[in-house]
Amino acid sequence: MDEREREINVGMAELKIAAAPMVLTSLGLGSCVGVTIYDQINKVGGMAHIMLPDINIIRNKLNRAKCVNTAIPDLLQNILEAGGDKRYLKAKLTGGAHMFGFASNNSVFNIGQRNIEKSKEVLRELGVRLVAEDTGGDYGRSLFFDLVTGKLRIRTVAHGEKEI
Amino acid sequence: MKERIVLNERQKDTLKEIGNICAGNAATAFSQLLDRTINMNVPRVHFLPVEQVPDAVGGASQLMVGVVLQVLGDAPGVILLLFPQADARVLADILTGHKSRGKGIFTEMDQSAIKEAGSIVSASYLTTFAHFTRLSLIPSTPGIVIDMAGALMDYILIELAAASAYALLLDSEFVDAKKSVRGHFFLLPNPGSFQAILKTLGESDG
Repeated sequence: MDEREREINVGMAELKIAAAPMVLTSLGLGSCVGVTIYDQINKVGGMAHIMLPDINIIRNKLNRAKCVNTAIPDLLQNILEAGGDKRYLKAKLTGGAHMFGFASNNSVFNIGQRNIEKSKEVLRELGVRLVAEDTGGDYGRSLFFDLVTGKLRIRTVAHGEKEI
Repeated sequence: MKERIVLNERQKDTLKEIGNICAGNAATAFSQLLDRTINMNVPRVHFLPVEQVPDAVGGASQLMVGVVLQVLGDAPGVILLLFPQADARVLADILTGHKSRGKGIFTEMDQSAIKEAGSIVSASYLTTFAHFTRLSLIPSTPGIVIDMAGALMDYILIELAAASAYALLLDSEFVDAKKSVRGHFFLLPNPGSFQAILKTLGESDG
């Protein structure tokens, strides 16, 4: 399979689980966070593209993948059901940028940061180890998570490309 | 908590009609600013799940220049003008009267000129919208972002997503006669503003 055929896109407020040799991608994250959890031994993992920190503060709660404190537990659960072993799971965290500012609008501004903090808190509670992160800044990111290697490639427009 | 979906076809048509007149006036202001004819197409009215907005505006990874203004007053919301990067380059060249060095480089001067153009077009659109709805609507100062469309949109959508699962999107495409400047003008009322707007149009359900 070539690179394109292996890719599975994870849209905004979605989470998906896959196994090697697939590549989970998520394009153009700004203040959203991208959370990946991976089992290196069984080569199974997942990615969530999350918008908001807390489901308790939003009106419509139907889409659990929209918020950190429901998306990450669901992501973990789905990986375990797909054959992942809790002992081998490692998480990576990206996104949470502060895109640009209207001075008057603090609630939105902190959303990126709040998404990052809440993600770390939830991962800690679930006992999933956070092994790498590329967060913050004022720019968007596209993610390519290779389930063969567990490497997460991050592309940006003006801040280069890196792998964590 | 259940959320009622509040927009029917008749309401959509009314919004489209008003949006069309607003966009027409905005196009006139834009044409005068650039000293070339800018046409705006009949707007599309989208009422869709927040998650689908990035696709509706052309794909999350497209490189865009976005000018964002907050709408303050009786029906708060957000205005977003989106230009593909190459079109924003042409726009900046026209506005500043300079020939650029590289297509991807936007100087402070370029950015400020694009923001100003966004401000003028938005003010013109909102003035007309306020006239029809008799709502008081005031644009904030503009901000500019040069990045992927998804990254630009999620920032706007996040606040909306907290209040509603759906977004109302009035989308007007504009293009000059030479087809070298093409872009989209979006008005996204906050969920609390949907009803306020529909009510003033005599289109509210209750």
